[in-house]
Amino acid sequence: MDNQDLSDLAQLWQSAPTPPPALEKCIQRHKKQRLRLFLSIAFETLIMLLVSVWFVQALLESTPFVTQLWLGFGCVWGASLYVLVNQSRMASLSILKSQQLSQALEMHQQLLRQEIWRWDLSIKATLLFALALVLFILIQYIMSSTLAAKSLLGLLAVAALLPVFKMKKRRVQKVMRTLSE
Amino acid sequence: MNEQGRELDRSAIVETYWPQISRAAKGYENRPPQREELTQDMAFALWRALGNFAGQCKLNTYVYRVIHNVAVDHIRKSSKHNEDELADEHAHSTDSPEANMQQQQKQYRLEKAIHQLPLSLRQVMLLKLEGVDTAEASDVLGISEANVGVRLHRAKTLLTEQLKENA
Repeated sequence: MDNQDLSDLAQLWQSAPTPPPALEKCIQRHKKQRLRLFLSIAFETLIMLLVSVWFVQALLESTPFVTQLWLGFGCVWGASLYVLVNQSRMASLSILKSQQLSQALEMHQQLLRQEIWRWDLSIKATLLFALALVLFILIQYIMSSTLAAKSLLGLLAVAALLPVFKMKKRRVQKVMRTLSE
Repeated sequence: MNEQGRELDRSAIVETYWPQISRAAKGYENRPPQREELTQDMAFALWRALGNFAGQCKLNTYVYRVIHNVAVDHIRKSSKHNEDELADEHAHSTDSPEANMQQQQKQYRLEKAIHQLPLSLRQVMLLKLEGVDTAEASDVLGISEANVGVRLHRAKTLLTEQLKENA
């Protein structure tokens, strides 16, 4: 491709019809996005607080061990993700849009590496929890020769989460490859 | 200049660059609804970033930095969405006169070929198609002019191959 060909392509590229400007719509959309982000953070915080209170209550009262295990896992896992996701949100917001692309790309790759690490953490935490549940079910079976349906259902739910987390991780890895090309 | 004047200036600059913004969005996103969203995100980010523009580089360079930065942000965030829902609306558009159809098909082929370029080459090619010179492209991307030249050469070779394949 010589310079003339490139110039012809540039002409073709620039001759494509473009929609009319709609800046006001953009500003309105941004306001809605900010509100949505604020509501998401508020909702996540509320959920975290509720689960924490529930966990403390379960510890203080004579709640079954499996419930305590569930709530403990939910609390630790949820709190870790809550902190990491919000750190990532802050970092994402602080990336200067006017900087040179090579610098911005490095920061985006860093955020993606963090996201991959978060999914890894979720996979490992879920596996660990599943293992604890299996042990609990086995101990219960040895002691009483009965299989608790609730515990089995819980194990099934945890097992179903694993492929979802793995898929999420693969998707982030794919984006990472795109940014590294 | 008073606050209202600056506000008008920023809006006027965004509107002036709207065609470039729209084309850049087209270069990064081929799903129409997401493309429109990306255009809006780019326009808004530019409008906001213009508030911090103090002549640290040429306005043109600043504008391209902002819109391409938003595009990279968009690619990263796309990990949260399904990327397989690709649209082909151009290929099926039949509501234009025959003379325009050929032009549209050419534009569509070019767009498709650009999408097939790796990101680093696509960024250089998109800037070149907008008529940005090598020195400015180097400033937008934060790489040396020699590197821009190498990437452009590779982008041209790949683009030629893709255009032949898509013909």
